[in-house]
Amino acid sequence: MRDVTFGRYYPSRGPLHETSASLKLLFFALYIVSIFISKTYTGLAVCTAFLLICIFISRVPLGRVLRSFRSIIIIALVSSVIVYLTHPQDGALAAVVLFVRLISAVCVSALLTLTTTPSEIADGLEKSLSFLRFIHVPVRDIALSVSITLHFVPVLQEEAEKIYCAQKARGASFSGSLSHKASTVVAVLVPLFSSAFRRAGELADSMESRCYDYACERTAFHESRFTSYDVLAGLLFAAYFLFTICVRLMPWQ
Amino acid sequence: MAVRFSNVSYIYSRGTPFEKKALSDISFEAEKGDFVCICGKTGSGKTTLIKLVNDLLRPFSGEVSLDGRSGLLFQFPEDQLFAPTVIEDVMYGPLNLGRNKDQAREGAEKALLCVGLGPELYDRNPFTLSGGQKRLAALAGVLAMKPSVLVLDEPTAGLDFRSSRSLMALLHRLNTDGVTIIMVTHEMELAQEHAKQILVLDKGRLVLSGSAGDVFSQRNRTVIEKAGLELPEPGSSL
Amino acid sequence: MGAVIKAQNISTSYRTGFGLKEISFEIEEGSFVCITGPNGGGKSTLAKVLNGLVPLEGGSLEVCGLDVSDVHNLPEIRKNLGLVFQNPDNQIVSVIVEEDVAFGPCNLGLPLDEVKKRTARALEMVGMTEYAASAVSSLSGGQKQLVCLAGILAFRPKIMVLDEITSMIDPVERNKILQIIKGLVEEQGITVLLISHRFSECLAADRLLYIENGSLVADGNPRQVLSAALNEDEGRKSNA
Repeated sequence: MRDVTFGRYYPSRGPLHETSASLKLLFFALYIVSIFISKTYTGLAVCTAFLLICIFISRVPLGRVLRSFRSIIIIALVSSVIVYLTHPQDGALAAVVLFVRLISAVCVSALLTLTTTPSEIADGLEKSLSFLRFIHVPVRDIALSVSITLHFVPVLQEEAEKIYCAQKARGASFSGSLSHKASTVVAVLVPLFSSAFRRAGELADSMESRCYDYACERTAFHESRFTSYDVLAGLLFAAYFLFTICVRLMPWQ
Repeated sequence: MAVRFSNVSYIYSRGTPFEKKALSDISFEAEKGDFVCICGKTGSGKTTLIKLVNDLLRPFSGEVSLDGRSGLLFQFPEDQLFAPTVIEDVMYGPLNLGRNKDQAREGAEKALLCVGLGPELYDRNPFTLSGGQKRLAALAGVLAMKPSVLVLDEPTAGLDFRSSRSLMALLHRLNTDGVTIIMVTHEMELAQEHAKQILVLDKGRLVLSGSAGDVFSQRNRTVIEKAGLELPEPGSSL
Repeated sequence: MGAVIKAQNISTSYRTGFGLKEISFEIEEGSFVCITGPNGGGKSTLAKVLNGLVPLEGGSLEVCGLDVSDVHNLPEIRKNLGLVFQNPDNQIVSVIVEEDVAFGPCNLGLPLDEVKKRTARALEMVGMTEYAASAVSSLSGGQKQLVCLAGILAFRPKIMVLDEITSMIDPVERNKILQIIKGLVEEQGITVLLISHRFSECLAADRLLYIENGSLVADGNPRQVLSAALNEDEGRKSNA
């Protein structure tokens, strides 16, 4: 039983859970912008502090959030070291910037999916992008596809492990010659893709038989009334974002 | 003695807040030529146990000893087929063991004959076979490695009555030819009909072991039901 | 009580297996019918044809008086005939139980309080009310199938077609699901078509249809149909 944070919702009733999904999506996008605006130690410190506060108030166990960057930490460290060694001027700063950006991006994505169900994300996306309907973009279908993708990431991950186990039992491994490793990759990916397509077909059948294409306005299960939580969250986030911009524009450091 | 478990325990995610003890203090022995059925519901530790036989996992404590080579067939093994042709897929195991192409081909053809798939299917794409044929091809892929111990996880899951019967008959033939069989199943009727030794797992602990007559007696009803299983129904095969 | 399903010489060719070859039968409202036969013989194809997922190539098929071949009837047919498949992981679209059960009514565009009412009632019928706000990933296989059943019950269907829904489920949970299905037939008057290989499930039904190689080879009392099938098997083996 693998514990995968990405895509796994953690039911709770913290302030992040209560904030409406469309706002959270907006904050998510703006947070990513903010960590790319920040290029100094001070700026990164502000971003990291804000993220840590969010994690702390989220009522999600810290362990769950930390697991999210377990898979990326090696890549982040390696990339940072490369940047440190090859950067012409301030290698240390560049390395730290890269590392913090990568980890923060993964962390905030995890925080989003831990506190927002894929269905809420879909509804939120649908609301935010609904203006695109006027140019015939299938907003509802896109939103549902995103939600289902999030939902299936851990499912496919478990399946990949199961397939790898089965092939390992037949002598496959990721050690040995390059051709052996390559054949192992094929032996895992081919069944995984085939399984993914089959699942997609079954899911499509199931959705169709549940009247997905009923051709009318779908009821949103989540009401998107803006509550006081949203107002407060909006004000706090706006303050954070403005502060980040100020730090960027300040001539010090 | 083909397989022996001595006081084996296994813990998942050791040292993290998600730590879970999958198996506690499991001990049993299977003689060469034995037919062992391990019964338990999902989460009882049966999948962990078969991974330990095959060395996919190492025990946290205790010892697993295996005499010879083990072959492992997971649930719904047809999901693991990947090669462009049936024969290439069956050859995958022997090639990984270091055999050359001719030896591997010979072994693969023998295995396919054993499971009843004829030469007309050798060059077919595995994805074009029927569900039952795919399962047999996956089994051939394991048999081609000539295991002395064959470990199977719910081999009859999803099969219709006829295919299930014929698969069990095949396993019996292999067993008669000297292959030790360890089969995980929650179909108690199958265990009763085929097993020489039955082990019942409940939440990672071995709660019952013995012959079918010993294990499936009325006095064990409470233990079996607590393990999420049922006593086999007397008139279940008309 | 009339016939809710009327099939006359229905045929279809499906890419795998035998498809269906001129099958005829009628299903009475409120009955509990089991459909069995070898894999690849056409049972799942029949389930999909009844729901309009696979087109008919010959014959006529009426579900609740509506012709399945007319594409305009499909939405109404799907509201009245629900389909549950073998693998719950490939049917559940949401991460929270009640969100998934609400998927169907939401698709119909019903007002939110009606959606919530139906969702609650459906969960009650399968005994999963306390799990409404739970994450689907925390449920057992059997519980997930109950969620799938609830997802269909939220449509208030007249007929439910269940395609080997207990194949991947442990024995104790299997029995629970069978009891719930029986309850739906007896207390709610829902017509159930249960596709299954298990003897216990075949024998629990009032009537058994045996489909092999795309044809309906037997139709009647479950015990008699199964005995005949087994005797034929024995006969075939001794002749081989």
